[in-house]
Amino acid sequence: MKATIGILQFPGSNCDADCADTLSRHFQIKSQYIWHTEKTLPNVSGIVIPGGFSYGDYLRSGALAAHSVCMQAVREFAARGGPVFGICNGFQILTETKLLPGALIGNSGGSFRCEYIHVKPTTNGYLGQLMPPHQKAWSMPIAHGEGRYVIDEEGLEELRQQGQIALQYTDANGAVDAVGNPNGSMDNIAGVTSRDGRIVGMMPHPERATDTIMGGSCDGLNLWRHFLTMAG
Amino acid sequence: MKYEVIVQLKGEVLDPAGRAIKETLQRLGTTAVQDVQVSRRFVVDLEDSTNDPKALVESLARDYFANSVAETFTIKAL
Repeated sequence: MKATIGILQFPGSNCDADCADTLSRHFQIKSQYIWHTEKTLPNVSGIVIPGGFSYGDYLRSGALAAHSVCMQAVREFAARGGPVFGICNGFQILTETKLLPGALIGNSGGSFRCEYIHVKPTTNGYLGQLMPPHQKAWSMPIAHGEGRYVIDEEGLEELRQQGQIALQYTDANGAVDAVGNPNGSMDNIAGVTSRDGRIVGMMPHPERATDTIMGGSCDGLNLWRHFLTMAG
Repeated sequence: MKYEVIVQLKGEVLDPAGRAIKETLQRLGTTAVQDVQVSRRFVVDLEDSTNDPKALVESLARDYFANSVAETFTIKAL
């Protein structure tokens, strides 16, 4: 039997249905929504924390959701090695819960960025093998005002050493430079993983890069395939 | 009893709102302005009977109001 994936829903989540649609149409995977007040998780083999503006993003992006009832259950799920995939607001929630290191703060340019960008997995990271040889970078949309990844110097060095920098913003040719960095993230960081790679957080939206009919790329499918492999 | 908590970005972290305000003020001719920092102010009203209120407000600031990765906070009794 194929895996069932749990998708968290907070008041203000707005990418939950897109994630469910990606899972069902492209991978024939069933998903189950999990409301933020649930104390226990249903029998799922992976958790998606979708994008949006949980609790209106009051206090800070993801800060209130991090203290929600269902996130306690997600902590326990993650502690047992369950794979967790946080996208955009989901990434912010994962850093606020400290399940992932660092913080996501206001874009350095001061404005909300909603556009296609390029990213690539770092070669020594857990996603390093996902880039097809013919490609230099993946094209994916971002839509965030608070996506600037920051961490102290010591933490950044640890991320580098442990291969926890999952994705970096690049230019169209895959060069990690200032031009490709949409929000001022340190080291162009667009996504990180936990030490064991089982928790993945990223600011770009892979669920919005799954159909050419939408006018963009299908590069997001690489990330979903990886997550589903972990979920078994 | 009331306590004020002020949360702001650490000095080494770029404050884009502060920078935008500073640059606008300078552009408008207020050249004396060297820097502007934007912070957030929380006023917490506690029951008078609260045991060790300062410690409680400190824990609220640390666990909720500020993100210690990027922000610092100060506390003052009002």
